[in-house]
Amino acid sequence: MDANLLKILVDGLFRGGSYSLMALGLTLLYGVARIVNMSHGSLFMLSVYIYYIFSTIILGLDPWLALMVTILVMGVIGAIIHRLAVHPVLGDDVAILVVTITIAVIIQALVMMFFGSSQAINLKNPMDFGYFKFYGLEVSWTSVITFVLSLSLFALVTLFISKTKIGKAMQALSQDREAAMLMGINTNRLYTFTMILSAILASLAGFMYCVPTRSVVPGVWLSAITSAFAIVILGGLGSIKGSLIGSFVIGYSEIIVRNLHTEGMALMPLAALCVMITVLVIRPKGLFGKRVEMED
Amino acid sequence: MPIKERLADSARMVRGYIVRAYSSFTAKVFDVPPRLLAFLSLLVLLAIPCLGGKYLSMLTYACVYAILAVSWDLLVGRTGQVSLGHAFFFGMGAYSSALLIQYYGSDTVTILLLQTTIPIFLITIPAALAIGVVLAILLGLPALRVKGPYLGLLTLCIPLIMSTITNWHPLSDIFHGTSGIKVPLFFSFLRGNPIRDTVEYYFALTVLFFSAVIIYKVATSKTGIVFVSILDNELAAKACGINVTRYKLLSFVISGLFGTLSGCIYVHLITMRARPLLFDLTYSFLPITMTFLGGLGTIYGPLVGAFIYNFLDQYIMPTYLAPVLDSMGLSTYFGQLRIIIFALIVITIIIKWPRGIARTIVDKLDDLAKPRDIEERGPRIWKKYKKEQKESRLRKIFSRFKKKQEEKEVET
Amino acid sequence: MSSPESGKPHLLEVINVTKKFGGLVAVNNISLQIDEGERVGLIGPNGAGKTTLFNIISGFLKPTSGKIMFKGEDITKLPPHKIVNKGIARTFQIMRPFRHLPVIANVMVSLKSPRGSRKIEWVKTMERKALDLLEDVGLSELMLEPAENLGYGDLKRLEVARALATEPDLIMLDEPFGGLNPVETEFLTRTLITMHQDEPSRAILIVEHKLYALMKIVDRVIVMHQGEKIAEGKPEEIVKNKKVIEVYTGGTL
Repeated sequence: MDANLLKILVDGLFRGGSYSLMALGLTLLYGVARIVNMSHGSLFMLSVYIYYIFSTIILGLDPWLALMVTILVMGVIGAIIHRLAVHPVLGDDVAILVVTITIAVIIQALVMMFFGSSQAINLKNPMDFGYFKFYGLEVSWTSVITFVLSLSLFALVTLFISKTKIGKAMQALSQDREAAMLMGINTNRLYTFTMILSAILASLAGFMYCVPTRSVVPGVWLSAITSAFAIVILGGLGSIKGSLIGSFVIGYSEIIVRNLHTEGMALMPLAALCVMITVLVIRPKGLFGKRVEMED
Repeated sequence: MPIKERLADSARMVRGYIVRAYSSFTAKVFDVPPRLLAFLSLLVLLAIPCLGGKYLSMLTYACVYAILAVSWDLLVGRTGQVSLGHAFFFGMGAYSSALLIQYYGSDTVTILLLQTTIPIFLITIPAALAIGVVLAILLGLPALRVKGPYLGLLTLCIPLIMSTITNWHPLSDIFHGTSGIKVPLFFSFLRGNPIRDTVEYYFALTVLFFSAVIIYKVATSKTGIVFVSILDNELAAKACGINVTRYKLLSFVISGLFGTLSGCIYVHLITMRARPLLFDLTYSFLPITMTFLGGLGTIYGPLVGAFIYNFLDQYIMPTYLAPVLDSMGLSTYFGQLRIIIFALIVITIIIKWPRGIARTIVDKLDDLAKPRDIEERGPRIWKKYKKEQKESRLRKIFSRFKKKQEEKEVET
Repeated sequence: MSSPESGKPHLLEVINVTKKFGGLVAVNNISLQIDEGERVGLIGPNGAGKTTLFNIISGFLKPTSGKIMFKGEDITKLPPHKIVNKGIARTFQIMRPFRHLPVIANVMVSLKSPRGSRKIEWVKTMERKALDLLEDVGLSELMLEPAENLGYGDLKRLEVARALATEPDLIMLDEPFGGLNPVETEFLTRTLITMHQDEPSRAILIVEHKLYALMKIVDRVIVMHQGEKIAEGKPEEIVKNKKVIEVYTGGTL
């Protein structure tokens, strides 16, 4: 097999896998709470910096421990954001968009304040077991491990949603808010929970995506959220399997675009954007999404 | 005798005019503060250079941003189509003009017919505006198919496309990468002349004035009311015979036109480079901040907000925040802290005063000023329909109904 | 197919219209005709498909099969605003006022503005027309109130005024009496009767549950049940129709 083609196939696979958790977080939040979270990418980015803080700068913890702490912190941050900023404006679509994008701006400014604007930093990679050869292609163990981890976690969350009581409540809420309320489901608490879950997924995605490359920049949140939204729109807002399939479609398109030109790397966001725009124009609900509301 | 009567009459007329000027029918429908206030503020703005032009450049910035803000508000505050990417028009205005100038190759154009040489931007700016209109239509068409959050997303990503393209290294022959394309300034012939700041300020103010007036005219026409009806209830608007598609597109075109204009002015008046930075989220966020500082869905809102923002940003912040940070040794954080403070302000405003600060205040004032007397609430035409007529009609209906009830009771 | 009285075609013809939502058949092969100036009532238990039929006629839904003819033209595929321009106006069961606009502007939006009218003249003429309409429904004092402040009964009247503003040849009212108290019901009944007297060529189609109010207004009643037309005739006959009674009471008494 052509080495280049193989590289594309493998890279696309890994990229799709690394996007899956983030897309899941986004789609869940929309499905359950109807919140379009523009700051999702910022949480993605922020978590990597927090991991950096805990693993390198301040505490120098074991990377896995640092990851646990990061997840905890991110969950708390997600809850705070939800309670303070999103909850008061629930129901007003315009306001939610503006509020969440403002939060994204704040997070970026905070990060840039403390870490500078384009410093790539050296992240500790706990999964660095070197490389192995796969049909002539050099593949790092890190990528494989993150891929497997991402998909396993994805499956875990999916199981959680379909089997547990909370998960079923989330499903109910995503289908009919009023009926769920009538059933005695505490919607507000569930919204907060979903937000925390979404933040945790974003932070895990950040870890999975950035640690193999050992670097991160504050500006990554914009391309991250663009890709995430492209995935979620392609797959359908609120659809879990949509976000899985979408992750790989977008992952592959980005890799293909990258390979179209020697400087294609800078053009990668364009891939996601084109897909997103095309989907929005042709079939806004995506592959598996719910019908976009017709009534006012 | 007649003089006294005449005086009394004119006094009444003046009083009536003042009352009507504040709470007149058009003022209520079209969300405009008393025209007196607007006139006075215009006078103040015109007089600023005389009061010491230290802050002229700040006001010039404010004027340019105000155009962007008011164009944004027309789209978002009046038709409800959320645009998180107005930087697209801003940047495209700058780049269209810049690219045309670059393509043409020189700063001036000789028109053989008139035997004169004119600066090239006199041609490229209208051309850039035309391009802006086309782009607005191209953007507006898919935007029609997309609602609420999806639209916000779509508009957020469009400037990102342009930013990626203009930053792309292989195209740097055309776009010159991050440093951008150099562009001639409007008043470069005044270089070194102390009057330059004043001239630039008046120029920006004039453009702002005409833009605001045009948008005001649009907002107070049937088109403007239709826009608001679309914002409130699209389905009902359709049921009222309104071609929602056409009006939505129209709002996009007008909004895009003025957004493009602001970009052109920005680059030809203030900075002289059209760079990818112009597509940054910052410039999409600016009109949002300004509109919420002022008032959503009004004409004065974005204008007031633009001036407040610039005042905060270019005066208050450097004067009060910077020294504090300096004393704490944190002055490197100034830039980011500024952004954070503004973002926090925006969030607070959205949560507490969802219509924008100035608008909430004006609405409260309107409520207070509303005459208690029902009869004064409408134009003179309404005086025909007196309260007694209504009461007598209702009384008749009610008595008839009561009689019927009584008859029924008698029967059973 | 034209009415037997004259050779003219019917004003509105619903021809074999069916609407399916996936597996659910909301409207099943319905046909009906309305002539100029006729007042027709459409009744039936909830879920019979009346509002769906309304939506199809007014262009908000497209039928799975069948046609709608209005004034001899096929309007089935037209978008809602074009159908309004052709002369059909409708009100909604759920209130949909333009919240931010004052009452008078709500009506002004629907008014057909003559072409080429300048702004000042437009405002003045439209003001007068809107005020007349508001007076007809009894909302003149509230004309400057933002529509969001209006009470339920007033909102219903605003809907009627808005529909009338489009100068329709056929006005369709979807449960106009819903939630009105007896005084308001009486007032609205008179308004509708007066409306007909003022403009005898305007046809009215009303969906309503309050039969006592409806029967005073309409000349003919059509009864729908589970998407089909099960009876049609004069109000007095329909009230006595066995099938209709069964359908409403769910079985023999």
